[in-house]
Amino acid sequence: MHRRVVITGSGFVLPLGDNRKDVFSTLHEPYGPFIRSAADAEVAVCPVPGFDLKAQVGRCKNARYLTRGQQFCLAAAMKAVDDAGLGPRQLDQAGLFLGLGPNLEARPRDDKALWLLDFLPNTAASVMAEMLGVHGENLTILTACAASTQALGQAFRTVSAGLADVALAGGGDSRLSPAAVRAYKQAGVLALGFERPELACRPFDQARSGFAIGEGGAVFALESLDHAQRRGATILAEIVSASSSLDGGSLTGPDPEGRAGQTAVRRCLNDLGDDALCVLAHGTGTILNDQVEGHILAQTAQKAEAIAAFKSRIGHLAAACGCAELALGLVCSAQGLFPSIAGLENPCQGDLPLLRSARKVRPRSLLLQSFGFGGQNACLGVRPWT
Amino acid sequence: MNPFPIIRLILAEILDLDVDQISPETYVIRTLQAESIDLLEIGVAMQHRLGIGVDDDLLFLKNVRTVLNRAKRDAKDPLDALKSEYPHLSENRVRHILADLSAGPVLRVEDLVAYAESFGQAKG
Repeated sequence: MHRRVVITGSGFVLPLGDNRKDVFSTLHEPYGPFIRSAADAEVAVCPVPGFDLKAQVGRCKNARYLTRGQQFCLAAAMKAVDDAGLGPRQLDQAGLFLGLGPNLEARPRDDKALWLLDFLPNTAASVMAEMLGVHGENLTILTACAASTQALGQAFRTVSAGLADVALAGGGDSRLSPAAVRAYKQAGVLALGFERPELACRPFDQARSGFAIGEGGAVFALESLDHAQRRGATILAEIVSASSSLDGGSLTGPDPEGRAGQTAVRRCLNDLGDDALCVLAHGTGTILNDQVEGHILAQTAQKAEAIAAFKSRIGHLAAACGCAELALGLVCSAQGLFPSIAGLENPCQGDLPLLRSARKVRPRSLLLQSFGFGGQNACLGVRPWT
Repeated sequence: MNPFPIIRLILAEILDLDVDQISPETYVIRTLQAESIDLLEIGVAMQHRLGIGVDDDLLFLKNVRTVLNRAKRDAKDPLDALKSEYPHLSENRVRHILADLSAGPVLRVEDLVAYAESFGQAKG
């Protein structure tokens, strides 16, 4: 069985805001709201200001076992359910597909009976299942920065295959803690030596030096087209393809040839096509990623109308980067206006339609690509609903 | 030292409540909706932050009905049976528990406070 799968709701908690209007207007500021990290002033970060889980979702005792990133995911999921207008009857058999990161703060503790839950990757899914009343097919995916894109792909396949009529999919992450900042800094992937934090992350620019760290979460309600139409849901987009692959090379940097990454992109494009294509690039701003991704784009996306790189505006959301960037991509598609890649002055690759200034674009195809640590590649092909 | 402020803070943190929602008379399970996983955390937190040994069965009055069933079987006075099982509770409190049983789980915040205080006395 292959059914058409549509997105009927989105919820997000991002550094730019938690609703479409705020996010769209802030996206078109000259720069994103980056600041210097309190843990390390050499590092640029893009935090979600004033996040209060209780204000967003009500009382949640089990939040004590959730990381900040997982709490973003929970808040985003509640918003997605509201946005899609899903009730308990539809949610009961719904799927739940999450892309999450590790809990770098977890440690054995004398003052917490069940500190084990801090370590278990499925604690967030368990808490969300209880709060949302979802009991269907599910996966918690921890494939580094490809995780939430892959979660969306697995949800798409599950609904397409008829294993669920409805699925919630997305993720959340936050790596702003001192331990996380230190981990990324020691891995040598952060932008350093910048004059102002908003100029730190410069995807695809020749002067790029690494990424800035963001945080947040985004979750989507996926449904079979039939199910969505039967209940009269508002359809935001259709998911038409998903792919993933493994470099099988370095544990951190991408394969210099980008072979497996390119395979993932091509497989996704097979079903998506390149009609009025806009690529939501991974675009971290690290030397190696952008070099390899630029090469992949040159091979695969020559006909694209535009290439966006949202990490220049919200930072790198790690496991949640893909779902967050899809949320922004859909907001921009609906408005027909995409922002420039902030800080891009001298492109590292001249023959690509990188967004060097804000541009009116009404993409009929969106290609989301995420290339993570461990050579984890994931892509998603999406068509904004018209 | 009165352990109530610390216990109230522990309950507020673990049960995701404001401290002003918690008084000595508040029912921990009936009103605050603490579940078994929460009681586990409350016990460990009290142990850690008050520096006391905690027996979860005694602290959370888990065996009230078992004690009463046993007393009935052995034709003993229920009041005496409960006082003997829970020596940290006052006689008035035990009487209230007996009268209150039919309304649901009887554990109140004051029972946690009494347990912590009795531990201090025993130690002192």
